[in-house]
Amino acid sequence: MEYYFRRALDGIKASPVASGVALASIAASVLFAGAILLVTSNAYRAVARWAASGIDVSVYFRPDAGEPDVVAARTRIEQSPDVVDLRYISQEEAWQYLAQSIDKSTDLLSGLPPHLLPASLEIRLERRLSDAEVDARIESWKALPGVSDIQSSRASVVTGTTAADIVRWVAWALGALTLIASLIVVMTSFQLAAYTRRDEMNVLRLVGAVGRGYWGPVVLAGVLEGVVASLLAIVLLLLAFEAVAIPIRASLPALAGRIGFLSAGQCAALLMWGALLGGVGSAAGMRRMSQWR
Amino acid sequence: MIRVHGVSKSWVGSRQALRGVSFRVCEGEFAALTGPSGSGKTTLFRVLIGELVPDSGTVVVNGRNLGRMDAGGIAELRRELGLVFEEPRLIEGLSVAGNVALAAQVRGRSRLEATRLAEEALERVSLEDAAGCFARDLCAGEKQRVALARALVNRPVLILADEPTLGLDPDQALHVLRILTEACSDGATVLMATHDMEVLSVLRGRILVINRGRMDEDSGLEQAQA
Repeated sequence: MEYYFRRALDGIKASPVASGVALASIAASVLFAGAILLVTSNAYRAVARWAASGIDVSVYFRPDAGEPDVVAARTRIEQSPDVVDLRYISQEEAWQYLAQSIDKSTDLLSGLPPHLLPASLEIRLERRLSDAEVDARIESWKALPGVSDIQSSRASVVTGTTAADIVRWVAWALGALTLIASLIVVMTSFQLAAYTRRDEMNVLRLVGAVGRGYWGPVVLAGVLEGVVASLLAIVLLLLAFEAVAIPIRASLPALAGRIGFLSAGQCAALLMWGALLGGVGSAAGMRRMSQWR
Repeated sequence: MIRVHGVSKSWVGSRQALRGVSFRVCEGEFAALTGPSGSGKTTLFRVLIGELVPDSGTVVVNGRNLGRMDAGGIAELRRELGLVFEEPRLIEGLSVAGNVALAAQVRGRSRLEATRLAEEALERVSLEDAAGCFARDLCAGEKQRVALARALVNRPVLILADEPTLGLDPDQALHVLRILTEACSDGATVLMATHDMEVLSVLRGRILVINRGRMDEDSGLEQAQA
């Protein structure tokens, strides 16, 4: 093994320009793939989290509905096993939420009565419910005393799930394109590296290096370059991410916990991707030399 | 040690480079192969190291019939030989010691042992002081001596040297010849191709003359000069 590492390192040192070009091309490929992965994973996480949170249903009460109506409706709805969460929002609380969500500098709410909004039961249903099941529950709850209207986020959840799927497919497509483009670029750069190392390969062949002894150090050099380039690309990506994320976290605290860098597994996958590119690229680059006798 | 019988080789669209060449070189012998430029010396060398496949004939080197060997066998044979070429064929970006040790490492020696053997080989060619230099920093004569050290590092039983003195000044050429002669005295068989008459004139060994792809075995210096 020591022989392979020494020959690989000697090979890299012997042709620094070609090695640098190969390293840069792998780093660019991993950086691009990492950027796609970072953006799509954050987008997918955000959409999927929202879509997976459940189906929100709002049961609005008439202004004249009394406390017995609310208690009766609440008791009836709580009996449903699909209800994950249930919360009563009084007219005052609804008004407060509205006031908080509107820019305080504007006077949109001035002059309006604080009992303008209806009281409601905010329900979260299991996400697995079908359209028909949600509709059936809504229909049965409409008949409850004091209930004026019921609204559901079912349609939005479907849209969100579809959006998450689209994000995932776009990520796959971009990943596949990156794969093909990277392979072409990296193989080309490794062909250059192989060309600059042709004397070395010639010498190795003449002193009787064969099989792993011949191609092993070259492929290992490619793998080492791939690992170094991937590490470099991940560090660059982290710096770029922090440069973008720091101002976002400062201005939008609500997003602070929702955006994140790549997971350890994703970083490991990028590292392996770079190593694979290096190994395959160098093997392909020296293919024509293997035709020599 | 070397047995060549009826070997012919022709290039597409060109004349025959070798025409039924036959000769033998026995164990421990120092033989020189000479002839004018284009006579077929280098083609014959490339056939002997398995780099070219002859159109016909038999080539046996160190007891191995090259016609029956695959690429792995050829590589194995090359590890047993010491090869020197007209061009030193060094890895320019590698140290002198690294270039020499490479052949030992390919033979399966450990790094430490390969380094020790490389130092010994460099001593034999009087280049021990240049061990740490890059090959690219050496002059032509020094590079050729490094190539010789690489050929000697595994103490091969057979050394094949193709024009190892080409382009060297007379002193350097004689130095190279002396190293090869010493290797022969130590038991190695040497076949050296050269058309340097000065080298041939001081050579104590058999001279094989090749001309237009044909060989006259056991020729003398007079015929080589003719």
